[in-house]
Amino acid sequence: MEFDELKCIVEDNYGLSPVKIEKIKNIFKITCDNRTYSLKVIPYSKERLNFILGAYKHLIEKGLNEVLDIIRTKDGCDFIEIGHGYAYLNNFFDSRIVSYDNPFELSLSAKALGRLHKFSRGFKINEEMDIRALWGLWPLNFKNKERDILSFKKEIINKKEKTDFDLGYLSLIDDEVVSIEQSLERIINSNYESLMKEEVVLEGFCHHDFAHHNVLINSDLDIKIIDFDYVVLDSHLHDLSSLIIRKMRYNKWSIEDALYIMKSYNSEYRIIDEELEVMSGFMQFPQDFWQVGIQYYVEKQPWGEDFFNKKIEKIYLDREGKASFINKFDKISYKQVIK
Amino acid sequence: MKNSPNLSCYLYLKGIVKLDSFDEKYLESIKNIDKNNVINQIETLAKFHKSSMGCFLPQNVIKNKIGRMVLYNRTSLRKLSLYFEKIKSNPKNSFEELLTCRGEEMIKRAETSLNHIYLGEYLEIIKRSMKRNELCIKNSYFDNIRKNEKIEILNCDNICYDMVEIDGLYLFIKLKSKNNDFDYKELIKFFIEAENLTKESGDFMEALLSFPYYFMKCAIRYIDRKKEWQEDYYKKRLIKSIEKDGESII
Repeated sequence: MEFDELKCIVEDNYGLSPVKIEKIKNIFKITCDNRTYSLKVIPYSKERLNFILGAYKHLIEKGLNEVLDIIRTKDGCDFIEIGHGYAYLNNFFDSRIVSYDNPFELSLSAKALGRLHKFSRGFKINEEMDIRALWGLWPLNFKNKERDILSFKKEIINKKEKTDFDLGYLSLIDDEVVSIEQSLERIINSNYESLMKEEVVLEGFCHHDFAHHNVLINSDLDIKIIDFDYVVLDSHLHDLSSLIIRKMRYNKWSIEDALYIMKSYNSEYRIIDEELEVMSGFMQFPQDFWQVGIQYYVEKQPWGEDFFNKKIEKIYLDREGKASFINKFDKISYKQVIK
Repeated sequence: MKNSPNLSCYLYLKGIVKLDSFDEKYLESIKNIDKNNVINQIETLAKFHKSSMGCFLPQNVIKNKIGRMVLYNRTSLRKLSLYFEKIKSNPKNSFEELLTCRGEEMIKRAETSLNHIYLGEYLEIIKRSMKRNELCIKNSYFDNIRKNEKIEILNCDNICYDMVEIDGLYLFIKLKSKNNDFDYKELIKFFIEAENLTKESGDFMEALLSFPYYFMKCAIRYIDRKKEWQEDYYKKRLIKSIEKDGESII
């Protein structure tokens, strides 16, 4: 979008006079004479916007400090139409992205995540929302992903000329399918079903993309969580387990770090004993392996063969460490988490 | 990612200038480093840190590397420990024989180093660094930073948020690589005074400097086979690494 066009939209809707507009990743940084703002674009349908913004506004209304307030338009609306999508405006948060390698920032992030889950409770959905819900659907979801992987296997076998990535991916499929089966078995044999039934009535949700680049920290050490585009109605265990994986994948597996994350999280949102087994099942699922297959065979992302070859090598090198971590995770006691 | 012109401007305003090269005479003079040179370099680093800290620029300008070095050491240790368990009963070549012979002792030394760090005031040191927005140059050796009328640096691409102690450690680790047999405990003390840090920072530096950094690096290179060297060459490198790492100081 051209600067002049965006400038007019901002002027018309917010009564602001931008002097500079910069695109930084998926936001526009808008500098006016005495203030700076960020405009976040949501390139989805109106119904999807209602869901994303609904969840986000719910957190603001509940008083969660770790999210940025939304600035309303002159007409009192929370969003504007822009291009083929929508956008909302925040004050620009002068900050940097947290690093999960920094134990202090990791702890602050885990606590912020716990608070997000606590404040997400009581979120009311309505018919105008295109909702995403995964309550009770992990086994089905895993099964579907297993089917995807097996379809990639067929595709590779039928290919006349196989790339290095094809061969690397193919060599890991059988083992990864075993991991999926084990992961499924753990979830099914755990109290997953009953835990989900208990949690669904709390009406909470998950951020679903709690990557370090979606957690900001300023010089006063205040944390803000951004980008709710992937929000989903699901158990808090989804985000918590994903955070543990994000911190540790690619050869950084450590039971001490997992406990450290869980203890920080637990100080804001109580983890219960039966949930550990469910988390273990979730973490065992080879999400990265499935995802890189989707990116290569379905989305056909133009990132080059080298990128994909490196990715599959990383996954290959990470398997031993991950398997050993899951074994150790199964042996931790609940007391270690809450101590 | 290269650091942006914004950072060069910021440093210039703080009295730190970026040069393209140092003169030949100076480069010649740093070939033989004595204790006084090291003390002067520590003072230069302290001045650099004092002048540059407090800068809060976004992620795309300065990277946040707090915690990386300790984490790197921990992952190296885990990787070596796993490999050591696999080969210790049946080493396949002269390199693996040496690794099994010295590995246990080095693994123990690395574990002791990390235990000291985690049982010490590591988190408090991190918090201090974050609150003060401390910047590190990373390559803190004589060939990248010096003091004339102003602080002069060559490469600022690696400048990042980190604990100032890390720059001291990089200097000492590099000195060790040149087999300089200094009293590192004393140098750390001097560093702490120059930077006005606490005793806990000194303990942290002593623990981190006792990590067998060069031994790990060489062993991991072998495990990953990133370099196509013969086993004998790896063995020679490992012997050299043991010399470079010297004795633990904790």
